[in-house]
Amino acid sequence: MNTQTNAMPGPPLETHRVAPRVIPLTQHIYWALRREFWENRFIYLAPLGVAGVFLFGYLIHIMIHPANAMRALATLAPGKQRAVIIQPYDMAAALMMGTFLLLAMFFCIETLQRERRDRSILFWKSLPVSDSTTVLTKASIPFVVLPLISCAIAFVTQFIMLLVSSAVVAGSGFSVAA
Amino acid sequence: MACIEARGLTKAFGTTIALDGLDLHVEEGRILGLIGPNGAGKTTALNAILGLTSYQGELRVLGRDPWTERDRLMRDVCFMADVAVLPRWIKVWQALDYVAGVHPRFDRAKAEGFLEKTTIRRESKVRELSKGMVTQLHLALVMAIDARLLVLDEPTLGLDILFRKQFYDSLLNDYYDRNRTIVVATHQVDEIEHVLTDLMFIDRGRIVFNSTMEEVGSRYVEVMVHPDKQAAARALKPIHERQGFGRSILLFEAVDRQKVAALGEVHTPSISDLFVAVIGNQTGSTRGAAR
Repeated sequence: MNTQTNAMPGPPLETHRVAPRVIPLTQHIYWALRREFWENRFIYLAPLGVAGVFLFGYLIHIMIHPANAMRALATLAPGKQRAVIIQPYDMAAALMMGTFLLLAMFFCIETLQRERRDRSILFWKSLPVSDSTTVLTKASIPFVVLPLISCAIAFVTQFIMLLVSSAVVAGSGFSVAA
Repeated sequence: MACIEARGLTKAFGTTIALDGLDLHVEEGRILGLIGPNGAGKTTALNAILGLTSYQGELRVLGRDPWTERDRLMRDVCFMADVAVLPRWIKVWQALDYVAGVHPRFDRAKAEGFLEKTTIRRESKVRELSKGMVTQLHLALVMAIDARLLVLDEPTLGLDILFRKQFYDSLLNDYYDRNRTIVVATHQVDEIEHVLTDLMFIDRGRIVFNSTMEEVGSRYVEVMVHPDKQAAARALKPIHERQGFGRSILLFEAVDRQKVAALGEVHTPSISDLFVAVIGNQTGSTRGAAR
């Protein structure tokens, strides 16, 4: 006797479900940070832009009459020389600091507001990410990420300034010994 | 196990009472339509279920307290509000990457498969997509998540009729199985009529009507009464009467079909007619739930 039936198959069992992967907290933080970088590209673009403009200005400054500038510098007292030489480097650092403060302020004002305003919070909250992960990641942007980025860019900027000025001085044929 | 279990759910915004001791019981594997007039408390009820708002009273979703365990609950629950909730700056590939990164039950290949049937490009930002495409994208993300409960709040608002139809077709054909529960709140009642297994009307923060669709079909009849039999028909105490095509259309609850068949053409009422009858009767008298 054929026992085959046309009965509806029973409800699929639990085992049909995709076995959930275990997602460690570090991965949640990684994606939360990536999300901030996607959404707020100014976090790295703005300091880079400011540094670029500053470097360009500095380059023009030292390219014009490098020899004259050197001669003027040589007439100063040694203590004063040092101050004049490091002045642009201080300016670069201060500029990065100012940029950082502005960006941090802007980020803090906007970040939690905007997702409520455009209602995308409903999307973010429909995902299994805890509120504390989201808020702590957002807090880490002005307190950790932006300072690190600003410091790194300031350091690189000053290093490039040093290289460029050394090259210009060497190229101008002006000898410190003279 | 009940998928959603609420008892005496209450929520007030200042002096406005959004939920007034709402009782709700949804079994697993049902497709529930939650229907109510503007300001009836639909969205507040859904927000409480999703852990987006605090509340008084008892509420368990898949055995969890949504307010304190939202992140854990969201591994098994999906949510789509009307089209505008995907962040406008996000690119399609970023949305895929992100959900794949944080959701343990997301099947990326499945989402890519759904997207392949559309004209959505990976590099597009959400703000560059049309409303219909944003919905397709969100639906692709949601359907690739192996969830147990899907909550939809006016999911097709502002979409044209083709997209709306396609939306519910995809849900039914590619997503729904008897392990999943779907809760839909909408104003576009008649479009979801054939999709639902259960129907609830909510008004002023309470469930005022609760029935399976089968019961609706067997318990309620609408009769287009012959003009000369109006008095006899009214004697059977219809719950609602309206005029249409120059005739009276009477809605009866739990009435002998044989008896009313003699009075005119009999058919099953549409959800919207039932809604008008039930909610219309609410004004003035407070009726209990229908069962």
